[in-house]
Amino acid sequence: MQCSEFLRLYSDYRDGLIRDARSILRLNRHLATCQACSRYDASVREGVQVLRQAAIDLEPAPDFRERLRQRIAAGAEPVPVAPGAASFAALLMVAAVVALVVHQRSSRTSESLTLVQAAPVAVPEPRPRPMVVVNPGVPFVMFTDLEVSAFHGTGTYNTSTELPLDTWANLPR
Amino acid sequence: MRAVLTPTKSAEIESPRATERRLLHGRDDSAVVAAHLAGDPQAFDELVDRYQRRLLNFVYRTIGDRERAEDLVQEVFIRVHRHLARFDQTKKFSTWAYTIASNLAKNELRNRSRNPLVLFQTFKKNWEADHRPLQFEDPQNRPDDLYRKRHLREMVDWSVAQLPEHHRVVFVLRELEGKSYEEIADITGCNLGTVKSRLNRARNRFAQLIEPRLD
Repeated sequence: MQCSEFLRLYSDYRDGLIRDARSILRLNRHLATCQACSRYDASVREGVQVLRQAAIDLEPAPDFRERLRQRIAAGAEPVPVAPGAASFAALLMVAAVVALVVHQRSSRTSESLTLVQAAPVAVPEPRPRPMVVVNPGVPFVMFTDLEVSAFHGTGTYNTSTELPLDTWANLPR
Repeated sequence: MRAVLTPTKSAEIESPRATERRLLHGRDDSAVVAAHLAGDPQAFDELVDRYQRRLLNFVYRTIGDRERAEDLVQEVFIRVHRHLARFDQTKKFSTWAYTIASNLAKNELRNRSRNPLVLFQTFKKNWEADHRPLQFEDPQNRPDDLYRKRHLREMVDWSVAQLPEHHRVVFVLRELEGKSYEEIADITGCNLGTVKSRLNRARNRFAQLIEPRLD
């Protein structure tokens, strides 16, 4: 086995992902006979060991928990949302908006009839169109990088496509 | 003969709160999440206990700033607290928390490198790291023995910091957090092949940097 092949297979070897007995034998033999690759393996192992020890020693500041509690208390109280409540609330909102639009159109119709009967034809003031906001929940992760996706596996969505904020309820489960 | 009464130790009575906390401690993440959603006031604290140090270590290794890493880890827990009711409990809580942390760390690094020159240098460094042939043996870099022994931990820290960000994240998640390749793929938004490639390159570069400093 050449060193280049050993280096290429090293990660799989280190993580126990090589199942073939013959390949494992070849890698072990190379490790036992090649001084450079043996030093390479030792460097990774020993370096990671030091890193893990450093990780054990790394503790949050003593006031970390208290600051966190204060920050959570200062923010809005999280309201547990039952699975059906959000979509029901959205339905109500849609119904209310539809009713408003219908009312406005019928008002305009009666107004326009009155205007026809009266002398000058007045141009009605442009009214702001209502914005339909369905399920205005915040996605569980805020992204500024549009190329990063939230999930892989059972279902994926890519935030670089035209995905509105209101699709939380439609995310694959 | 006189009877001598020896005072017996009274049994330590555990408070109900301590009992509840001990029971929570023995449960897995999904059970603790369910307890929090059911209104258990100690359940969220249990999640913070489990993940604060691990997330701090991960974010610190990614961005290299201890104080800022604490701020970002707090932000992770705030977001978790805010959105836990919407979290898909069929997925692993750990993966979700690390994904939030990874994205916050990435955004932090991106915000730091707004300078076009810094951006260009970062892109160049990342491209070279992805395309440099795998190699070892860097005989030019051999500090003296005493220095090596005294400053091994600093050297290891420095070596990790030298890795390009996209290699460093994968390296830390695998070597320190023990995440599987699939979990790392979920957290970083990469496919498995990319995770393997980055991890191999990260280990290669780490070994090159650290080997001269080891016995």
